[in-house]
Amino acid sequence: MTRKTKSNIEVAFIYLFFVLMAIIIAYPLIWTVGISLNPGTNMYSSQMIPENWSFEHYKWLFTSPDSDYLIWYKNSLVVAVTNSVVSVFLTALIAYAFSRYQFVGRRYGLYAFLLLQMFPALMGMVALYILLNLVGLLDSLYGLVLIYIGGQIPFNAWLVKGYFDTIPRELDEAARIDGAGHFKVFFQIMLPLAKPILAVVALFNFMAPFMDFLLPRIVLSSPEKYTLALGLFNFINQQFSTNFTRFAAGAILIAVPIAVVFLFLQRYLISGLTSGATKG
Amino acid sequence: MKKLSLIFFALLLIGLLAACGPQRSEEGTNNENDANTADDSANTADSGNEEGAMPDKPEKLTVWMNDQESQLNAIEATAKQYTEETGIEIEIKGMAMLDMVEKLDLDGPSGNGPDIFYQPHDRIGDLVVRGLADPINLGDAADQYTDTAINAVTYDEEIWGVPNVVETYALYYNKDIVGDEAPATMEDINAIMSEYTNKSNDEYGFLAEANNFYYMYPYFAGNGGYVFANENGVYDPQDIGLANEGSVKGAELIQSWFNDGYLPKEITADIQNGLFKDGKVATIINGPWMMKEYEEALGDSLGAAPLPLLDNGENPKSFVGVKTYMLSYYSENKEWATDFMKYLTNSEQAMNYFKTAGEMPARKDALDDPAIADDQLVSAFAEQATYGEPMPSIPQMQQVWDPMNAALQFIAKGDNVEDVLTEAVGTIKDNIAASGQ
Amino acid sequence: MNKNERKKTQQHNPTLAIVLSILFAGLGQSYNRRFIKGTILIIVEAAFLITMYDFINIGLWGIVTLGTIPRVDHSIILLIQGIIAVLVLAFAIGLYIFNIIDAKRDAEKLRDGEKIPTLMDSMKNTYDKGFPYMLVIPGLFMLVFVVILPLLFMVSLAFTDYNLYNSPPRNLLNWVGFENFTKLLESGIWKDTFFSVFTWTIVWTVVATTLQIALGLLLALLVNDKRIKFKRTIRTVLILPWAVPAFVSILIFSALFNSEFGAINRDILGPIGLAVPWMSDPFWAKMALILIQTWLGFPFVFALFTGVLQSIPGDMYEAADIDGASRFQKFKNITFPFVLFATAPLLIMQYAGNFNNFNIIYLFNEGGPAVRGQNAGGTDILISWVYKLTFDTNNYNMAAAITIIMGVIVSAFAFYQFRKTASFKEEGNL
Repeated sequence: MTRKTKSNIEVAFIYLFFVLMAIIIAYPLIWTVGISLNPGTNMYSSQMIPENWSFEHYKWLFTSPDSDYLIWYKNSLVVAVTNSVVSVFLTALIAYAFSRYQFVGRRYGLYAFLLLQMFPALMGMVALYILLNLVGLLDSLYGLVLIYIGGQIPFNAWLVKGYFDTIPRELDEAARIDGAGHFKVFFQIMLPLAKPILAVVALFNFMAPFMDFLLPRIVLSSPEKYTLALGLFNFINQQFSTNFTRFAAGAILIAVPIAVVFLFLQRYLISGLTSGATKG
Repeated sequence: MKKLSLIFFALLLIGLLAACGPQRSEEGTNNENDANTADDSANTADSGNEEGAMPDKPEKLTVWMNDQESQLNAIEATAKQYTEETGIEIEIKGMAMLDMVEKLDLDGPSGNGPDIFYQPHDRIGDLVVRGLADPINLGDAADQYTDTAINAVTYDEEIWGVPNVVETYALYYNKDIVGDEAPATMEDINAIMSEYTNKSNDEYGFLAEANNFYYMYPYFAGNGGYVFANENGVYDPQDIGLANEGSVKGAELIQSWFNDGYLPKEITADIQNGLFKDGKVATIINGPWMMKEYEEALGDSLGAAPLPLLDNGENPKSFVGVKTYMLSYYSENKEWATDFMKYLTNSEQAMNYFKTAGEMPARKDALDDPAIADDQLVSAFAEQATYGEPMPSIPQMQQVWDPMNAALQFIAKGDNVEDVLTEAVGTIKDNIAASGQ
Repeated sequence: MNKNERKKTQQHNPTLAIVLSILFAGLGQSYNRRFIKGTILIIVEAAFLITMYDFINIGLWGIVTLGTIPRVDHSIILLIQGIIAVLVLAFAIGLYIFNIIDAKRDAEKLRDGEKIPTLMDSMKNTYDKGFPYMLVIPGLFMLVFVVILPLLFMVSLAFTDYNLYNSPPRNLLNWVGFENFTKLLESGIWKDTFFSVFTWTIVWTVVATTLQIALGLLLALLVNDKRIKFKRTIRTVLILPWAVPAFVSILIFSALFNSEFGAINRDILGPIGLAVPWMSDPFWAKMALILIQTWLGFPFVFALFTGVLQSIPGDMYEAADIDGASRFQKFKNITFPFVLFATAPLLIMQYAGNFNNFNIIYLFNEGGPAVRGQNAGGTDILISWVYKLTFDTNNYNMAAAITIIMGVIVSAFAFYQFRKTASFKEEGNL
């Protein structure tokens, strides 16, 4: 009896804690929605739940001739999808090599790159700028994608390799005895079995272009090539006229699809990430 | 055996390094000469200032212009007329002004750069130090621009830009609160502040970005402060007047606004614009770039006036910015580029620019043009610009902003003004020393 | 005939093969009578020499001299071309060494009387041996340009005299050795600021990261509790901050934390008389940053730990139950070590990430508020300070020097921690 009451009280407190967390999580998000529904451009005269709310900012984003929002959206999707598809494939190939083959640099290669990437890249951006200029990929979405793909390799290859290591070697050895080649093992055994971690990698790489404005800011210069993050950032980074309400509206329209994809892949995310990371 | 081969490669590498390099030392000196002769011919051509002395017309000139749509429209219209008159094609590329420098740095040497680019005048020193711009010979035309504008584009006794636009900030006021008569002195402002400020209601008599040195400079300078001593157009970066008596007096005035509780401490552009547009602010310091937005919000209630007179009867000396066309060092058609820049800013085209882009021309005759003189809002800014001082264009200016903005934060908090300013000037000097000059 | 061949092979001399290979790639292979391989290598080297000679020649000259004629030579571009040339050369040398080793091996085999493999065999052999390289090389190539090139460029800058007053194309850069580093340690304005910024960077990294990990762990444990229902919904809500772009959240927070106009002071703390100067007081600005980072960072850790908790073998707890262990004992002796052990590398990366977390510092308050007598703002961490040095004051050489110090610190820490975790050790012993 007392034990049960104690347990019930405990559970009640846990739920209470969750409610508190939910409030803390939701508070800024609800504000963002609120700001986006306020008329005007100013966030400080905005209210969390606006009295005379309107969709004018959303309407502006989609219909105004001055708005490049749809182009940015398209650019971001192009970058995100390309980045996600190419990265998954390339990363899986590399992880396959690291997990199943012997070669020079296998032991420390990935760790070396992980450590090198901890050097802050800000100053090196000038080098990337000049490199892209040299090969004519400045102000181009391809140039941007190439850098994203290259930069994600060490971390994600490490995750995928960790996952591949959990797939029993007996499986591919059996296949090899049956005469399967290197690629056949890769496509027919490794890839299908590693779906959860590949989903995680795809998700990470899909999200990255939506969230990053630093690199596009250096690579892209014409507004019709901007990605969403950069375009939105410029709404509020202008020296003389900031437009916070419009920024909020644009941001919501990024966050919603990402959040939906995210929540759908939640199960994969947890299982893939866990086994990739713990065995890596 | 491995070792042997390593040694072999080391030797090979040293051999490579020592032996070679591009075979072109001759060519290099030639280039240098070319540049010099180009300069010389530019000088002679312009002193003649006649078509006869000009070199052959190029097929086209390339211009990098700020990427705001109205400004691009304005310059495109002018370019069309110029092409009709001279047959020279003009290619205009829109680009953010800040991005131009980095691009020019790379594209100029490789031959993809423009002939003309567009910059705020305070970057001139920077551009000259990097060697991206070439001086311009305006000849007689120099007299047509306002003195402030010509001062602004003069650096090391040479003119580096053709002034297109002058801008400075002034006082906007809400006629519904202040009445039709603009406040003329700081006393008036004080009266409005004490009468109308009600923080709990978000109502303010007077707002300004008091943590931004750009907007607060008039109160330093109007009392006798200065950033760098200026003798005959040459700045002395060793002589900083931001902790002198006048500066202290100005800073104390600023501090009094905080002490009396009239100004909020964590003000940002976004906040103050929002409050002003909501009609909760009587007077505000801001630039002509906000005019359209304010007008949309307040309509006929919006008024503008020069900054109110200080207690010593002086006009506050606001910072004046001059947006200017500049000549690329790498341009191969410097004479015609100069010709086009003059054309862009002649009295007819300058007014066309004003009508399309809404920015105040840097010409003397523009002030009398009815389109400007009769516009109560625009003329207030034009008048304030005549009282103002151009921002120093030497690169050392970059070391001034951060320490001074920080000093204004301390002043707002109530720290001793003289200490704060002396310390800030020390930091500026240290930073200048540390920045490599 | 058979006898003849036998004799001939015994005379085959590996040293000669090596020397030939050094002279020109492929010669040694041809001497080993592997003519196809030899021809391919000869063509590759010839093609490399013909196409790349000029580029490498100018590149190496450029990186050594950084140009000789101002205006004509652009030191920065020369430097980058030079680094690319060095990278290409390093790759070529790698191949070259491989060629020599290969010639030696084949020659030794030949001497010992092994048969020359047939074309088919040798192709299959090359494919098998070369397969992992084939998989890795495209990625490696990209990594070299995306990670290594910028890094080398930055490292190089720290040894030049590149600043606003000495910048190309008007001026040429020079190599100055360790001058920038000594200046950093000696000159007062750099030294004082560096150490105060450094201290806060460490505090920030440790406190913010530990908090986000602790909160993530706590929530993961609670959600994992058998008595809790609606697990899916709760997880969904808890992951939400991760799904919103961080720069959006930070900017919104920055507005909410404004002490006079922001909602946190106005609607929550103000009415109960606790309004706090979040943006203008360094201490409170730091608090705000740590709180925001915790909000942003815990969902990742939560997701990670949730998965790990599910993978702890149940029999460990059963055994503990039999021994009569309390819940705290079970947590301390089973859950905590297991979770930490399993996720150590990722947690280390969390720390490293916060050490370099430029976004939050810059977007929240641009490193402000200002602090008396100091060159950096009150919340500036090393990376945001470097940003200011680079873009506001054009002190490129000093910024690069500081970046190197930062990079060495954080990667040395990470290396040490990686070494300590078992997953790395296992990796090393494979």
